[in-house]
Amino acid sequence: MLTGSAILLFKAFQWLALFFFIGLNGGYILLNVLTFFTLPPYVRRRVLSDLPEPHSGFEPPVSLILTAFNEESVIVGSVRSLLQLDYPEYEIIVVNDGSTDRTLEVLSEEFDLVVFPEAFRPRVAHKPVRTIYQSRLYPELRVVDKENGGRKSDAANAGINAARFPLVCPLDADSVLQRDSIRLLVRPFLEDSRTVATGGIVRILNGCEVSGGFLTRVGMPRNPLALVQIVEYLRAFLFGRIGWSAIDALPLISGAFGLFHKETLVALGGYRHDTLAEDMELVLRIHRHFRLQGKPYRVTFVPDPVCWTEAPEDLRTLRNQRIRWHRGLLECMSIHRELIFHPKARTLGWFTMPFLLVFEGIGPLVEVLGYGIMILGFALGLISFSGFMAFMLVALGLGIVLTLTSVLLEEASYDTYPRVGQILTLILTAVAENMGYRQLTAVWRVQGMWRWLRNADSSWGKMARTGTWQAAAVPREREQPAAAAPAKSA
Amino acid sequence: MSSLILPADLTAGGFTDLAWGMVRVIAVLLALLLAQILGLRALLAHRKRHQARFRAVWAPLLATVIDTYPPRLPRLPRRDVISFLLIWNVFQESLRDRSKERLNRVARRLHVNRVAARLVRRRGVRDRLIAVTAIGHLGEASVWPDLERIAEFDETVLSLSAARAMLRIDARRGADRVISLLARRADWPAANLATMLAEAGPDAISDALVHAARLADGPQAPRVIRLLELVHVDAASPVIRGILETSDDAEAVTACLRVVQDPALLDLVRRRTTDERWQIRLQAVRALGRMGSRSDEWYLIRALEDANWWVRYRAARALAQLPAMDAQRLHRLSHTVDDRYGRDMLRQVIAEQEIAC
Repeated sequence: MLTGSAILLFKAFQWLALFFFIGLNGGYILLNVLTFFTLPPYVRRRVLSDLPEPHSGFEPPVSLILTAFNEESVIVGSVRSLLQLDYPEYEIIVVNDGSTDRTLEVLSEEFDLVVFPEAFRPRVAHKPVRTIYQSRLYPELRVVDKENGGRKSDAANAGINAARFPLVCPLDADSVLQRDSIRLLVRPFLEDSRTVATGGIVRILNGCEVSGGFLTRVGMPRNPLALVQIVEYLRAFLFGRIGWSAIDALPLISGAFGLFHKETLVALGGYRHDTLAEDMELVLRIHRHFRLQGKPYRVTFVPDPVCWTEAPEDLRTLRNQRIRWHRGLLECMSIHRELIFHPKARTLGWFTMPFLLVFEGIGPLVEVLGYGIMILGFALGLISFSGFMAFMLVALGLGIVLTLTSVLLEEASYDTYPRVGQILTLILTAVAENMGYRQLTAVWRVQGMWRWLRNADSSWGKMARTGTWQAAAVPREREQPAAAAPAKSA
Repeated sequence: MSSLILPADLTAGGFTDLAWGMVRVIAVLLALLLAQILGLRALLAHRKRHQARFRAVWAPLLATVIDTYPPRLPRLPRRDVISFLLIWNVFQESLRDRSKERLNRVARRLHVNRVAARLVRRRGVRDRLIAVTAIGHLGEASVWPDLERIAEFDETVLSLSAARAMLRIDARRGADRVISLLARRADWPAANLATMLAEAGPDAISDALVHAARLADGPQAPRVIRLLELVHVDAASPVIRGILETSDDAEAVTACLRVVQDPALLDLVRRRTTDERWQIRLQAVRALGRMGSRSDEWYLIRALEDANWWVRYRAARALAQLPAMDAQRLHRLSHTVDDRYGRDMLRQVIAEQEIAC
């Protein structure tokens, strides 16, 4: 028999969980409403995007920074993709972060690299640069070979130092960009001189086909984990980022693809090395710097799908990624806690940061405990079957409604998945996402919270890439040995 | 066990009933969402099929105007006018001269010009954008007052499209109107403006732009000055000279140095290579690279010792660009530069040139 105080505790937790549930879903619904008011008008204005747009010569040149740590399987395809972007002036800086595989060798063979006597200027901190190479085939391509810094941020900082243009764009090695992605992301810089950073929608590449460095067919992955991440990304980008951007409080620009005013990054000291969410930390630092000093600036989100990236397909990699992300989130909240309810932080300090801290940061713990206590309460007879079922159905049902709303937004705005079969798959995945996947990621996030509390060691983690999407991007003669390798080992 | 549940318990009857009520609401919402997603899919699929059929007829037909005027035109149902204008606009922006005229004849014969003029006055942004663009290509002067009104709308894309349409209908009159709006339209991207004004041509825009540059002040001044690179050198030079001689505004001077092309202003440019602000020194050495003579070598070698990396880099590039400068001479110069940073920079630029060759 449970004691009176245990029952009281149980009831208190019930109320806590209820308020949490209302706050979390209320926040999501609000973001959803904001997106419904923002996205359709934006898409209507894009009706002339099919018209040819000549370059005027007034577009600011851009430095693309591709950070690579043991990326021999994807790096050539990624660079080839970047070489074909539709933008008048840009350079590509590949930063080889002390790779232990053949990343540097494949780059050298493919792009005919020669040692380049660059007058390198270290303005933001990173591990020492060993050599700088220049491609003999593509004058816009340079490779910075440096000692391993253990974090992507260290490599990105070296890229910032090597960048020659006013706008810098740090990228992941497995990012595949739309041909017009830079043109779209530059637009806010042209329209408003206060703009210091922009980001766009990132989509899942698994299941798609890439040829010649560009996405040629949008497909659905067969791997269920990758599939569920499609709807997860739809949720995160379509009503997460767009909603936050609508109230001028965008807390994150994805590390996979964002565009920044270089001098702002240099003035702020570049990326920090002591956090696992260096992309979020940087954006929050930009907000903090400008808001607390009362300087005008803009961090904006371009609601166009501009970048495709590979999602993890195995539980181990996904788990590590989510633990890392969650730990990174809590690190950012801790580093920039001054922003929370700061009078000058406006919407960011009064809405976004508290929401992220309570519902995204601590939320998984409440969620996991909530499910656990509901089940325990039911098992002990404290909750009737009817009550148990009703609360579970409300929790799961609302989750499905919110995910399906993202699917609807996607359908109405971009029509990226045009086949009926694809839409049905998305609908079923939206249901599956809420019936086990979200709960599983909540457990991982609690683990991330635990590691953050323990201040356990961490590094930027190796993503197990399949790279299947870019088979067509690799020239034939290079494709054969790779295809032969598994046969040999077999 | 149920006796333990107090009235304030969330799982008590009242709350459970409320939760079941919510379950029903959510179920209805889910059904509506599913219906909406699937309905939308069906509608989009139907539209796509219709668009494909429409394109299959009209795209090849409009493509024939590259060579000739099509003798026969199929009937254009009213509901397809927007689809027609979308394809027609793409052809207009891809073709030249006579082909554009033939496209206009096609549109007029189908009375699309009248429909487009009506659409310009509609409320919907999408249809308006398509119609305003078409009106510009058609040169429909009757819609001018509407375009002037739309060019003042807060809506950036729409107002910019109206400005472009005015420039296409009457380049000189359009330039006067559009350039007069520049000071108030900080939201119009410089890149789009430059494309539009370049399309109108220097004859049409020179007077208005030079006048605007003379009067420009405040944050919009550099943007207007930068556009001077689109006008005739003779027309721009007096304004640039005036600013370089008298102004101390860093933004305005920098903008002038970016666009200066007249060798008669070289002395004023050289003076700016020692300005205390690095942004000005940077643009000054770039300008010397663009229009300097062999006698500017001395200024650029001095700039190689600049404290700022960018000034050194641009000075080295400018040296390489000077008339009669070749690889051998650059190599010789790299041995004579005393400053280590300047020497490193020159070597970098020599390497860049060698790789480019």
